Amino acid sequence: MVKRDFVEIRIHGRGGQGAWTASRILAEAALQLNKYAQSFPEFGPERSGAPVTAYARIGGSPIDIHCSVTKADYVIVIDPTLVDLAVHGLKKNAKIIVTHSDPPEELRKKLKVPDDVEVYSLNAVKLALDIIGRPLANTAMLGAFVRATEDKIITLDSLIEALRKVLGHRLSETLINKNIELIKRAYNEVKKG
Amino acid sequence: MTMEQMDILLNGDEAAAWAAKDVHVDVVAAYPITPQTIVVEKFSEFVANGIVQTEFVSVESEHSALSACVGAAAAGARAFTATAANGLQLMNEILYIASSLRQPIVMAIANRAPSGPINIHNDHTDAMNVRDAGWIMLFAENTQEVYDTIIQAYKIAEDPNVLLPVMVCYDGFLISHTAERIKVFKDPKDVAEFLGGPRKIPKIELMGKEVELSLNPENPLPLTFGPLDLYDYYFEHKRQQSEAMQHAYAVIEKVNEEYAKFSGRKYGNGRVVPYRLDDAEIAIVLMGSTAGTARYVIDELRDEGIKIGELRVRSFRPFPYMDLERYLKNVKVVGVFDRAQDQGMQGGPLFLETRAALYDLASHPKVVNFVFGLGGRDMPPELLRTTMDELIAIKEGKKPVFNRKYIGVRE
Repeated sequence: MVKRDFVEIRIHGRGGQGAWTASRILAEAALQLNKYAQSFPEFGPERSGAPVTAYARIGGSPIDIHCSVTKADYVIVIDPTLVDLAVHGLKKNAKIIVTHSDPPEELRKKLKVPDDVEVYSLNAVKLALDIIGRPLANTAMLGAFVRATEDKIITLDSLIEALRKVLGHRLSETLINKNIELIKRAYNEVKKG
Repeated sequence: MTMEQMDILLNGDEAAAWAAKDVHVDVVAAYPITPQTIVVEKFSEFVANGIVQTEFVSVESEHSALSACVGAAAAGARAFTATAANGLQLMNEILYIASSLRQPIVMAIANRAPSGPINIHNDHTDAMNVRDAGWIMLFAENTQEVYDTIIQAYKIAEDPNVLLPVMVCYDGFLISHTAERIKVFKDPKDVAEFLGGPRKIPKIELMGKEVELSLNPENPLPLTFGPLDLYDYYFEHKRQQSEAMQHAYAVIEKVNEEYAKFSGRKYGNGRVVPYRLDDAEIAIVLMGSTAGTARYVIDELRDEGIKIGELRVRSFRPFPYMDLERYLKNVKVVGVFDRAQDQGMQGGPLFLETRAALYDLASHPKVVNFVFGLGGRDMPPELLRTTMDELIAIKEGKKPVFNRKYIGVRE
């Protein structure tokens, strides 16, 4: 018997913004908590600037399923111009967590979000510009994700540990620390509506 | 006692490179092609960081990549390469040379649809295109199995009764680009121990002298690899090659057992992996990553009282006809899922072989074919469910329109 106790996460971004990296950090964080996980990109040739999608599955047992995520439990959007994509392919009681200057209540109206779906928003692009000096919202939105999922899927500690594992060899210690600060700020400042 | 291992997150390509690192292969000659590229990137990283002392040969094409591996293996090295689709097609000539020269090369294949139209996504057509090239062909289901199978492959390939090259196939993108939690050996020395140390070159007797079967200048008598071999001996050599492939059946099983003791992981009998087949009336037969997705659907149907199970073919070459007979003899309906083209054939390659394997049974099950997933077309559980519902209907007496049906295609 195979267990189907995993959640499915979809991340929307643009090529170069680190959507696939974000899904890998999520999976790595799950592993830190002794969970099982998958991370994969929307299969295709990525082009810088074009909309891209990445996925993660996280659960308490080995994950044997190997196909696209058609309905997600959680959708994370790391580029404000792609918020429209958040509302398709959702499971019942899904949560969408987006970077946008609009407060979540307004986004709910604009995007006609179904009543069972929770909306979280945060201007993570601005926050990232302030803290790391680049408009890359991928790590911040993972902090927002942890808050929106009440630390139940992954925790802030596991996320920070995973960030070091995945990006430690690519980024300077200063930049890693700034990303950690960014994640914590995003965790504290994301709003539900 | 199993060896000490650690849990890490790797995608299929990284797992292939990681296995080649842990085997500590002597020579890698490879040319990058999507979706195999990460294997080459990752392995060259290991070389650049001094983690392995492997000779990494950058070549200008896949034809050269495999040629370099043949030369290296003939000189006694453990050689490794990786490719996919069009790259595998460009290797075609050398595939036959590698197997007929009996060189135990291991090659990772991130299965991808061949062009054209140009497509970089997964199906098994690239591997099926070379199914008669004399290579052992093992299909892994997930990232863990990619790692495990590449390590096993060296032990199978180098067995003195086999001495054949091995392809380790895994689904492009679905596995090559999917990071999963897997176990790897903490100390690569344990992998060396499993393989029995460095490659052992068999010795042959030649004109009263014992000679190492390799291109070794120290040999008391010089050997030639790949000479002209016309109607005087070609046939005998092909006959021997075929015999070696027959020996591989038992060796694959033995290595699977030994590896289980070593790692705690076992893949059926090495050739096939059965799932809930004991009392099954309906069985599906398939290869690769879809087998995992299908198990969720089989469990769902089992909960509804349907007696259905799965037989995953892991060794496509040699083809495990005896295992298919054994596991499917009491089943009423068999649905074979081919993720490969069937141009001008009665069905997909896996279907043809499965049906032929069951022909000698006193009473055979009904065997039907589903061709799916070409060029990376998704195979979600819902689509597998409707396909399995079709098998249930056939079991209940519905006459299949034709032996073969295309699943998930716009007609």
